[in-house]
Amino acid sequence: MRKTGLKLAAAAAGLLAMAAAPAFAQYKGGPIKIGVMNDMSGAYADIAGKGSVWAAQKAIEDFGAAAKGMQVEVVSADHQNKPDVGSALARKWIEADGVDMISDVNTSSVGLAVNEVTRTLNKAYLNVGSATSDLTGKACAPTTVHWVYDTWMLANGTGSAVVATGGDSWFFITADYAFGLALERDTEAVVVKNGGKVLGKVRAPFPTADFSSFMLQAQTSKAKIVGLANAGTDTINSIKTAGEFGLAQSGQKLAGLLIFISDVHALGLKAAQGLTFTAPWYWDMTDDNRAFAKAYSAGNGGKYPTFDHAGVYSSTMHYLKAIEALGSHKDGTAVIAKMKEMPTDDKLFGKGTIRADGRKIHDVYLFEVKKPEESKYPYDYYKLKATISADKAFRPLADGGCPLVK
Amino acid sequence: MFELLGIPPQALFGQLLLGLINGSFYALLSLGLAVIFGMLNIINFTHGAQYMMGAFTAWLLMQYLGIGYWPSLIIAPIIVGITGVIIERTMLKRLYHLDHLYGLLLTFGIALIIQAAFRHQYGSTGQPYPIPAELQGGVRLPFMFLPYYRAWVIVFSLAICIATWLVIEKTKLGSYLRAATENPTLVRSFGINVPKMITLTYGGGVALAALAGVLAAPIYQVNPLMGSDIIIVVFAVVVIGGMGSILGSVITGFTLGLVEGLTKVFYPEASTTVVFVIMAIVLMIRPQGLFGKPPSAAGAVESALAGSVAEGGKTLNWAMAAIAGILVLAPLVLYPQFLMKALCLALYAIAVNLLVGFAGLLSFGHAMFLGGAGYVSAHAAKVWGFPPELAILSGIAASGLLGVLTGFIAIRRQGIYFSMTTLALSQMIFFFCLQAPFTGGEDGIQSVPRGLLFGFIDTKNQMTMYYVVLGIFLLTLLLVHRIIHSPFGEVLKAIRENEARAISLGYKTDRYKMLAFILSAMVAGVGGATKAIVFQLASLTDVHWSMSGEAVLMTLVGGLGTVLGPVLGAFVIVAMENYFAEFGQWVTVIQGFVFIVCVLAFRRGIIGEIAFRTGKPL
Repeated sequence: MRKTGLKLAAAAAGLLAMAAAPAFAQYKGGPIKIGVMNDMSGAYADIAGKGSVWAAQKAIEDFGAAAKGMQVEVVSADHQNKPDVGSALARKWIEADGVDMISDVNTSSVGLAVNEVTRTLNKAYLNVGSATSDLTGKACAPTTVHWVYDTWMLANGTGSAVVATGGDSWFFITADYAFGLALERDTEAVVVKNGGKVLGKVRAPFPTADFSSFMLQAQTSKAKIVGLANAGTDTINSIKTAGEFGLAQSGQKLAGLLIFISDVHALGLKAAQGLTFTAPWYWDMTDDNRAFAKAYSAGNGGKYPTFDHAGVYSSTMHYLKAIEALGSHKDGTAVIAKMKEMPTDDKLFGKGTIRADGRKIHDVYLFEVKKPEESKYPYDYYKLKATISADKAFRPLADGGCPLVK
Repeated sequence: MFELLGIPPQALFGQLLLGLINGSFYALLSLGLAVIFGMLNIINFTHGAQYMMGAFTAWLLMQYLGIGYWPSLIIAPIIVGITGVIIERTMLKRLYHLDHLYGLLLTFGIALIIQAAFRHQYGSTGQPYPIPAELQGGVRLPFMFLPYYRAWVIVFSLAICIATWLVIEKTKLGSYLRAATENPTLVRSFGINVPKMITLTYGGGVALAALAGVLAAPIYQVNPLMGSDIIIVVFAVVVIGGMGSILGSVITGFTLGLVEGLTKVFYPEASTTVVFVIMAIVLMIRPQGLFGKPPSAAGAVESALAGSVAEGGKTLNWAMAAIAGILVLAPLVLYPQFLMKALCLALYAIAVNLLVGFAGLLSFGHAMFLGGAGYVSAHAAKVWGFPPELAILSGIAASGLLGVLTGFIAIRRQGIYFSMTTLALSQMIFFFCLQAPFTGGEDGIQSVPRGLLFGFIDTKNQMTMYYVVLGIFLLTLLLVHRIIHSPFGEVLKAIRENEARAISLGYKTDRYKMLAFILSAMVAGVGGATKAIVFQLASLTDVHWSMSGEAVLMTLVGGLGTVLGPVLGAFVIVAMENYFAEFGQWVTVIQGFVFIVCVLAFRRGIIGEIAFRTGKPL
């Protein structure tokens, strides 16, 4: 009886809201075009790819754009991990196709290239997928927000947590390109600051299929922790090789510096168990997250969302709120300024803020991969070890060298 | 404890053993590639994809039919071998009488499609495959922990290599095969079904690749892209060992594994490049490879390629004037950014075409000139504050200089050996660009200023920039056109047709080839340097080997050896990249499809086909 009453009340409220909707100011800024650009065919297609397009569309739907008189269209393209393709695409989107906001853009080199285009052409750029902390450092732009994570955050979270639990001697296996080197540099600084030491490092060409030689070097170093400053398939192959060569038996532990749930899924828990890493979002933490994951899974052939997909959802949501408040969306700088002014609040990342340098801040988490016997249902992979609060999780505003910070 | 070269001998032993294990994969893969090349004269670029298919078939058998590792070791290669037979019967057999290049391009196209299909179905992260229960764990040797599975890999692949060698060298079937390679007509006249034998050979070579894939499945991720990078290394192994030499490819495979293993200890960054350094050295000293027979028919390669070179006439002049007119008006209709990219890459394709069409030298390494000039011009504009005209000139000068250095090594070789030398050199330049601090590594040089041309033309305006690029393009095209039809160009053509006769006429052919090479490097440099200024970006993409492949593709699509072909080819390819980007993951499938259609149906290319139909050189 009581339940029915509630339902009735909800229905009535819904009807009221619908009746009231036309009374609200309709959005007058004209149609909006969002461009989702990422790797759809290469090594990172599972981390971002088509799933990000789905996430952007989901945000538009949940925001109720249509009811508010906002006509939002999503276009998408594959940048093939090439900065020149990405920058040319961004320019074409803005100049020829009338795209108002560019979203996602994983792969740091492409992320930075697109950043220059949106800066020059004054369009909003909500980067989610790139790791480079330069986007809010020396390359920061008044048109850019960097949403989910960066190398500093990953290094800081994993580095300090691991040293605190006794992992005070490190050996790095680093992907030999800008992203890997930045990750290694930032982590090393954190390790040394917390009283640990780095016994050695090896720069593996990118991409590498066989990590056995590097694992053997790591074993010879006798370091307690082997830090993996790489991503995607490189990380997966390193972890597999570590298992095969009995790294755990020789008393060494792995620290993954950038781990996505798709990587853990691909490895399987048997190979990935015990891996400690930092991530800004996990699907199995709140009811809202779980609902999002369920919808995602239904729309994406049973896969589960990575934190990149969650970030695209969250950033698109905040973007729509900001342009609604602003009443227009053509001036990228004004939109981003509005986004920075309004506190962020969405289902997936909760309350947060965007700093002057364009860094979106929120809590981040230290996770450990579960043992196979601890996993109870599909994608039940992570154990929460610690929460790093938003104010401590990201690089301090003053340290980034962003010219926008006075 | 004494140390050897800074590392303990125990660790060194371990590394050598690991190198040998990796070498066994190279040996197995290059064995298949060598068998196919030896018997079919086809450079099988699908080999990497077929290696991947082997691993995936094993995974699928386990996932859906519950068939484990041991049966898969036999079943998977058979299944993949059958797909190979189908490819051979439907497509490859049409190419035997043609140049190597076409087989390579066709198989490259097939590889693109196969990889994309698997990626679409199974995602890019890959699938795990367990190590069979019998081989789990390992043994602690005095110097390292050796997993049993790795030990099995080395023993098993050695056995397979020896068995294959025995079959080809010591059995009756093997002697038929070898005879058929030497003289197919004669063997056929003895009543032996040569086409069937060739088909089975291809199937067998492919099965070897798939076998390597099954072997690799438990230690690497079963990933749709796992074969795309290994193919080029394996390719180098075959060249070093001697094209078509079976013993050579096996021994080289193991040796290179060792060398790579050592590099991983002393200079890990270079471990993927060392193979190409060795390849360049081997090609310099012993072009036929360590175990190969001396090249006898190298000259045939070029003459086959440069069949119909335009002599240039009224039609060509009219066509060029018309194109210039269209290009002047084009930005009114088409998006200028796209046009500029196409123009820059058209210059690049012209450069490659210049060498192949007029000197008979097919370069697989022109990306080094495109990318190298781009880096220098970007650096000059950004760091030294050069105005755009000087920045572009510095880029051209740099690529010219690079052309002198690399040309000195490369032009001593002909045919496929020339192509391989340029590939090796360009891989070294790629490595240099990755490591040198001024190139910005993976991020490249970004936000390059466009600046004021000659101090007063503001190139920040897209339209202004476009007409500047168009000016550069037309000037270069005109220059190339003039050079081709100068006495110098005539001598080049004479060398291409018959080098021995040109020498006997008193021409220093090497000097002419060298000049053509430097000229081509500089034309590619014009494209690269301009591109860096237009896009305000210089990145690793432009020095990567796949960019060299793209130049060949453009030339092929447009028409090899025609003057206007590469220009049109560049427009077609850039348009595909630009307008198909919206198809997302299907871009590579479409590209692969274009390769296949071009090779099978339009070998003359678009312009070549028009020229052929109208009977007018274009």
